[in-house]
Amino acid sequence: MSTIALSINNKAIGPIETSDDIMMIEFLHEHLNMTGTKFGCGVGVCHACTVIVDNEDGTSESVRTCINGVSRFNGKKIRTIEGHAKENEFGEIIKLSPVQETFIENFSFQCGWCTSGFVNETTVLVERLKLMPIHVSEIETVIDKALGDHICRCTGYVKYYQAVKELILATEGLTRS
Amino acid sequence: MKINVNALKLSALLLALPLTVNAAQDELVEQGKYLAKLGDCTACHTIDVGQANGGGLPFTTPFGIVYSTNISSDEEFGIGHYSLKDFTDAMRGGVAPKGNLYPAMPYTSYHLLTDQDIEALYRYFMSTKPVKQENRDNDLMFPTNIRMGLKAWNLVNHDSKVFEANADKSEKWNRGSYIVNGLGHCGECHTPRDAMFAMDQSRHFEGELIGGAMASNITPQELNRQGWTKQDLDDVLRKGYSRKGTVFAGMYPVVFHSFSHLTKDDMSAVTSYLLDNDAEVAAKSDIFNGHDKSDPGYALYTGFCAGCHGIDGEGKPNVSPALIANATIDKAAPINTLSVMLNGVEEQRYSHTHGFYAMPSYRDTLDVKQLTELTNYIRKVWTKQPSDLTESQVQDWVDQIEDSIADAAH
Amino acid sequence: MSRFDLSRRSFIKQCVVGGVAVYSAPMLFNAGKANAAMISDELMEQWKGTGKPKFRLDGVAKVTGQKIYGRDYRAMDMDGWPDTQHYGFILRANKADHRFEGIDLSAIPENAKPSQVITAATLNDAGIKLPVFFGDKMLLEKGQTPDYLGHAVALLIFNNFASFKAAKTRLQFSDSAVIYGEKTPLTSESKDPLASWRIVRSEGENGANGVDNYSTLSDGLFFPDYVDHQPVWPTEGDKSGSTGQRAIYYADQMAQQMDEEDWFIFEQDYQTQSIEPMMMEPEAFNGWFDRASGTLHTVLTIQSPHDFYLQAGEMIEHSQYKDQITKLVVHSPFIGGGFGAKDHSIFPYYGLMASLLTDKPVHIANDRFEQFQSGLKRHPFKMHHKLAIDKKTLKFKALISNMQIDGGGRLNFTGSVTMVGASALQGVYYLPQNDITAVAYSSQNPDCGSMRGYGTLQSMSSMEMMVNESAEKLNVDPFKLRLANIMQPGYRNTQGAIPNGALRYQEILELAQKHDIWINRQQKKQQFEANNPGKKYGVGFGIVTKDYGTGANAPSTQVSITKQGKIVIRLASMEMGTGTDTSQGTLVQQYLGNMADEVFLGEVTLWDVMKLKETDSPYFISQDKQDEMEKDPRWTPVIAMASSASQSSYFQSHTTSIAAKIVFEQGLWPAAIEIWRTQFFNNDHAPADFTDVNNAHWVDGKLTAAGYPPLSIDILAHKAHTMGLVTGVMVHAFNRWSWAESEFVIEGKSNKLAIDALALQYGSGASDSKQALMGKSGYHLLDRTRVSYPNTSMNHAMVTYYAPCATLCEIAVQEGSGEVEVLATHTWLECGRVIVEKLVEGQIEGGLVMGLGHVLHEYLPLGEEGAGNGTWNLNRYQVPLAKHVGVWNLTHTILPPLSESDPTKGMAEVVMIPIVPAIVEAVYQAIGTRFYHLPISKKEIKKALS
Repeated sequence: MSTIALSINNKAIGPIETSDDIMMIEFLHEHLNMTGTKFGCGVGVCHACTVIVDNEDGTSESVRTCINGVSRFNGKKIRTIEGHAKENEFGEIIKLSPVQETFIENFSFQCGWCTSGFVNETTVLVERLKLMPIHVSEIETVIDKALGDHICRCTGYVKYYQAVKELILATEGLTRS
Repeated sequence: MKINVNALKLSALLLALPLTVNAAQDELVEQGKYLAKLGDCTACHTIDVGQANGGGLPFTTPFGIVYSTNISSDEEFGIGHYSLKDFTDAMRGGVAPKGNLYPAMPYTSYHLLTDQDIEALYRYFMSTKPVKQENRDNDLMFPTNIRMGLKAWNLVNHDSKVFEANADKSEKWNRGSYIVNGLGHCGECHTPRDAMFAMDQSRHFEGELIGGAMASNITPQELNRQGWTKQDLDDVLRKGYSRKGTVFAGMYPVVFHSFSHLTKDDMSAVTSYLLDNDAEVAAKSDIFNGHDKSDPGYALYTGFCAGCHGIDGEGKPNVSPALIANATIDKAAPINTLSVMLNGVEEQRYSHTHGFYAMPSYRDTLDVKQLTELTNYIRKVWTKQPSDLTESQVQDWVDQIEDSIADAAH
Repeated sequence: MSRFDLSRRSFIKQCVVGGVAVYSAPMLFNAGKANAAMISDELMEQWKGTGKPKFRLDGVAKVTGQKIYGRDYRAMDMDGWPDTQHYGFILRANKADHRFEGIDLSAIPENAKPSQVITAATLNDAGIKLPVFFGDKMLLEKGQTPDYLGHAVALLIFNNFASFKAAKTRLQFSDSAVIYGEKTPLTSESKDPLASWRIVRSEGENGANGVDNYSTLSDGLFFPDYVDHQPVWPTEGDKSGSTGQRAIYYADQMAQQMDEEDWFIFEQDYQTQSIEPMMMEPEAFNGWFDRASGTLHTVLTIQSPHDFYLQAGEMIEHSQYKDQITKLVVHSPFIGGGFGAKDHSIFPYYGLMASLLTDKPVHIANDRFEQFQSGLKRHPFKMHHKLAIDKKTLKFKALISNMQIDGGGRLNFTGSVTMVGASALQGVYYLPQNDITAVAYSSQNPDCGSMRGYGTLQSMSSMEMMVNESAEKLNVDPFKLRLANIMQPGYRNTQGAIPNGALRYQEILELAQKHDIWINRQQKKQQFEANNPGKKYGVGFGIVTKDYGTGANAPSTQVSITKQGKIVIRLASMEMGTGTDTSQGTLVQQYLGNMADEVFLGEVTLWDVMKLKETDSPYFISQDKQDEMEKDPRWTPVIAMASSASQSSYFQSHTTSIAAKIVFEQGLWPAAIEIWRTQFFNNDHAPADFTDVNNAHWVDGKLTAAGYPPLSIDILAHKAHTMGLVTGVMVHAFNRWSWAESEFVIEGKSNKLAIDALALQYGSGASDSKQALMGKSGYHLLDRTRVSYPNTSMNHAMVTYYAPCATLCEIAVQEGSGEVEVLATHTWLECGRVIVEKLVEGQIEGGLVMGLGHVLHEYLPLGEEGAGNGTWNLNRYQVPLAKHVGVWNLTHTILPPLSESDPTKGMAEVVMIPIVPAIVEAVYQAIGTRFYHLPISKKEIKKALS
């Protein structure tokens, strides 16, 4: 057994006792009943289960929760799909994040199972570009590289990619010409 | 030996009708095609976006960049204008009609080839589709950019002797040796190089750090110590995946293009030679010393590794190798253990039924302390290697790995 | 749905199946206690945008990770369930050629042993067996040989997740967990074919739309005998004999003609592979048998919940728990992708079995290895075609085809997939005569079921490949060959039926022919290859038309309007990504001037109000029986349909539109007239002269007519309610390639409607007599005064609804690696009237990509190396990634409808097909080698190049 404590979406979680062989996604689902992070393949290929780990140096990285044990996240700060939108005092969602907004307005997803992975990966990308803007001509290549590992079975990727491109172009400071 | 049988067939057929001569020629071409696979000519002379045998692959050497050349049958850009003798000279002595070849071309191994095999290869290459693709100029620093210098290098470093069978060993062993040392040119990576960048035959197959990973020690002593069976070697060379672990880094294209095509007999010869044993070798019992939950490496293992390699190191079939019995971690110097942690392993797609997803790189995730703890832990649980490596030792190896990436050479 | 309606927590009784009252529950949403975020009304309101939806109705829930999928729910999320949860693991055989001799669980650590081990013996004792549809051997008995790789042998139940996980890790890939005995033959070797179809047609003297000499539509079907497990068809042809003999007579005549005439004959074998549907959400089940109240609760991930209700009832009825269960509650939440493979899946019945046998709630969820091992697959086809073409006129003269289909080890939808595949072979072309034989066999492979394409992907693609290659051999432009042979409106298909509507193939071909990619292909090839040494350029084209619907579609919709003017729609459809909720919520705009405020999906029990009953299979019922039964106003050929077969946009829209129209005509319109008449007209002095409903127009969400002041929907709704007008309408319809029509008397006036059942709700101000009509159920159920169902002979038509689609692609082949790079694609789709353009676009894009997977990437070997062995996952099975699909250059043209009265056609399947032959042709144009089996691998391309 291990004792795990971490921050999820700015809320302190734990300490909680878990078995040592529990993967992070299993911890989210079975211990915390947070099921917005989706199980797709269980072997790290499809990237549906991606969450964000916020490092102490201010950078963030996307990490797959199906192949990483819960101990990897002990003491870390993470963000999951449940943490992006703003809620009112009744716990109702009132405002989506810009990434979430661009995805729904572009009809980017269909079944929605891969969506949380795409939202998290794109959020990491956008935050990175804020620190390190890219030349506008690189935009498609940068998106290809950032999202290229994520599998979507319904949409053909087009409306995800277009949405991200639209968002990057529309957000000040992400690109230079 | 297969070659002799074929030579015999050839001489017999030469007496027959012209039509049959063509058939014999075809057979020779087929033989050459197979040998070209053994020689892994494709890996260097075909690039993804180029035509087969068109050349153009860059090699970063300590002296600059060398590009592989067009070896298709094209008379203008390829080797279509070569005579059999020209071809033989290139294969054995590294001397092409236009001048000396850089030893990135492993004539330092190919010289072992028999005349028959060289002719078969020649016939095959002359039958390949001509590729109109100009060779790229190399980008080398003085004085190595003068091909003349290579003559001197050859004089000192190169011996163009044809393979001679070891009379003390079986025909099978000798066939294996011929493949491994000749066309297989395994020594080019697995044998350490001396100050002149020539293979140091006194340390034959003892391993060399290249491009961020260790071309392993593949001496019979080491392979037998690690407990490889012939089937294990057959699996790893044919499929890139075995009970003893998987191939990665530079060995992936070798399996993909070359060893996966070996005939059953040739593979058996190769494994007999590598293990120095014609008989089947029994597997050693698997090592799993049990977890030590008080060890700081335990949480690292469960956090970073167990998801794919299994809580007890059992791996997942067709997905990720087991650590139990894994040869990569069972080495005195943990260079490859560290190498895969730092570099990850690139995705490998052999075919529609056979492929491995990438292992992530932890270069930016794990620090030296963690690398040390994790490496020691893995050695403690799944090997008999000592697990008392220090951070400074690990730092040294990490530096060596990073340096070897910077000056990757063939 | 989309919103969780707290007022609907109570379950509604539906019907009695096998002695068990079946209940359905409202869709679960935000019931999770740990993560109880809700979506504010203000945010949801925005979905309506301005005139077209701003986002999907389910968009916010999905993009914020709400608990909306079946797999998300644990016991603690469910009202009234215990908080703790059991976990089940299904142990499966990975061999089919050895006797099963038991299981060995010794590898499980002591602290992780299962609390229960369920085997075939347990099931025998409890009287639990599969519903008949799925066959037998739910769990394999000791001493039997598995029917297929992946055959379930035991179900292990664990008290908690930790022990489940620890045990599964040890068992899943273990060589010793399942014990095998002696080697035996495969059981499939001693089974008769699963299905046999033969479609023969001979055009009569009046040609393409005259009376046929013979066709399945006019003559009926005939079937072979089985000898030594092989089909034996009638051999003696006889023009005036039985159906079979007549068919053989014309088939022989055609074969003889093919030998004798100076026709161009093209003959070729084609083969397609086994494909994993790979919906992103692997199947899962949660269930709890509450013994105290005799209630069995279930949470599903399937596309066909209605079917589950019926079959679960059947399963319970046979079991020893029959008398202990009085209620079956079924929750059917959102589906994380289905592609057909969650329709009639066997999976939930294992969950049901587990629930029956355990005390606690039990969760069973496939991981991806298990989904590969046990989920439904796409049928592999082996085909041999022989096509005759007139050398001068370029007309197709005859087609003979033999198809062999692998149905896998357990019969599912193989029969109809085989039939649909065979009947689709002709694609967009007219054939004056045909003899198409298709036989499906069982094998040791995982069972194949319905999957996107439903057999047509396999057969139609091969037809297009034939056309492309024949054009080359005949040295004619492939468009010219196509134009010479396309079906014209009124022509008969291979079954002798006339496809519905205008067939706009010519229009599409002419557009494609003028597209840059096609016009400039030669010039571009030269240019591209000069600029990109090592790459070969090629262009390919394919055009197909795909049926939608099943020939027995039975949609239901309820549309109601609250007193505050909120539009609420309730549907039987499930939502698995296609956007049914969004499209149906948008559709009502045509009649109600506004988009829906709430759409509830997956309603099953609600329709009990209509008290419908069905008797026979709609496919096999006789005309006499139908004539007899239809006299009963409660009888219908089929009560419900699955969410599959590209059904929602056409069939579901049909009932939604009719229901909305009635709400308008009987509710809002008379309310408007009343307002205008009393407030804006000299009512006391003259009769209102603006009451013609044709004057009605919705402008910016408000209703106006003949210049009268626009009225907003809340005012109209309030008035309609106060007046006791119709404010809610529930309808049921039936379609057998044509809609059933009935007459109903509404408010004293007879209405002819394309539905077969109707129930009305009146506003709160309704008179006592109207209130009485609604009674306790709250609905006034009307009796139809006349009904006309499509004749049962329409079943022989097999299909008549088609949507065409064509794709032009340009690719580059990397010579060194054999990799195919998709440079650009353009797709043309004719789907009638588009409801939500973005949803249609999403289907075009996603379909094309799934087609690319089929033609280039996705492959499962058959037999022991195949998916059934339990070691398959996405590291080996390559589904297309963005880099494989030309993601930045994927474009399309949606043909404008002929008029606003065009049907809203089903198109979710057809869009994945034309890319398949287009890529095969483009590869040929690039490298000069044709491939006849799929997928085309890099290795084969490389080999072809050297």
